[in-house]
Amino acid sequence: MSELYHEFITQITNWQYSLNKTISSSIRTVDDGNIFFTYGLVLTIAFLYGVIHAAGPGHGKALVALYFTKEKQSYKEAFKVGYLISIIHAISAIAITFILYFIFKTMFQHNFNQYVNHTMTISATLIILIGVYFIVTSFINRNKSVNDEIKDKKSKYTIAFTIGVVPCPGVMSIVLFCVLLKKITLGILAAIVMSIGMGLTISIVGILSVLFSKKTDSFLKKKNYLLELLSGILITVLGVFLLLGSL
Amino acid sequence: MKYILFILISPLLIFAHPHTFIDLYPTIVSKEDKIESIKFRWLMDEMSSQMLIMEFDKNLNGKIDKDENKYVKENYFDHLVAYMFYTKIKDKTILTKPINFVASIEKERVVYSFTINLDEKKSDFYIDFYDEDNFVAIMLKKEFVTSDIKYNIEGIDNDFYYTSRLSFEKDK
Repeated sequence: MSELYHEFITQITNWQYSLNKTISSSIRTVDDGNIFFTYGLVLTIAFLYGVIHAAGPGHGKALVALYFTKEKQSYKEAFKVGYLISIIHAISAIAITFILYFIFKTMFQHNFNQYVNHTMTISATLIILIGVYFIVTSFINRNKSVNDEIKDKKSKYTIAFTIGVVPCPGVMSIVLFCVLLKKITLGILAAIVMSIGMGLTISIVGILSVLFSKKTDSFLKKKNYLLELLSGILITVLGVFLLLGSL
Repeated sequence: MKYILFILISPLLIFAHPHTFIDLYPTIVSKEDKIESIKFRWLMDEMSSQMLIMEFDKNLNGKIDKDENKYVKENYFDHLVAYMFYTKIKDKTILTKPINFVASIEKERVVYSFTINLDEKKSDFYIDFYDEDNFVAIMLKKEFVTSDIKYNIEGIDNDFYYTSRLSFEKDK
């Protein structure tokens, strides 16, 4: 693999390592100083952690990129989908953490792994269905040009739900850590802020894909369905790999 | 070709990124030109530790007792054999067989200690530390290593996951 990608993975991992250390020590000492300052500090770190955490592999960026390459959406739509994913991500992580904590307290880690696995299976199945749906629509729309603006609003929300429903273990860890230290409000706020950070990164990927899609418009002209077909096939393959990995 | 491979494999990593960070402290036991064994200490990050302590320390006495250690070993540590304990010796040509496993709690952090017997010549010897699933990041720094023989720590380009390599000087 390219040297550049290796450097990227190493840098992202090292930043996350440092932020993970800083946020946990900041949460522990939150009562020691000025509460507004310490809360502000924890939430700022949570935001940065979210931005960097989502920049590494994962969080459905590949799916978002393929979707916005296929669909002729606006930058605003790409931004909205990024944030929709992060909202569902946050709700899913907060809800599941509290449910697992209060019901299966002493077996949290065991149930945590199982739950993440189940949601990944559901998510992978949905991704396959979306991919197949895109393949079918690419055939139906093969005689239409890009100017026909074929848009499917339902699939946008399906994409957001499919990615967002898998709770981020990183967000869950912060929520649980705060709950255990009896800082529940801070835990919920940190989860929301971290998700906002992740939403920013995912939105940027969506926006870049829209940009790429617009650049290819003139090149593809009436052959636009080929791009849709390729996106559909890649999304289906992606779903199959994920499903196999989660079983 | 690299980019086609990247496109095909990247879906596997759609949800994969490190959520647990382990500080790795190896102590090299050597005699002349041979590495006899390596004692490992894994220091889990604070957040993951809290989650694990909740389950491991059943009697809430702040430490891992003998029966709790047995539980950790059987339910957590032994399962890591599927990942070769994130410790790949000479490109997996030597099996990773940990002994003397002990789990403990130090300053709110979970510690796994164990030993791997080797009896290997130091020349061309190396170990790569990584998790193929990219869920755990093994953090190895120069200052974490205790060794009488010269060693080197470097990051390895292992495609999609973070990898550290511990290697020893080649014989001249």
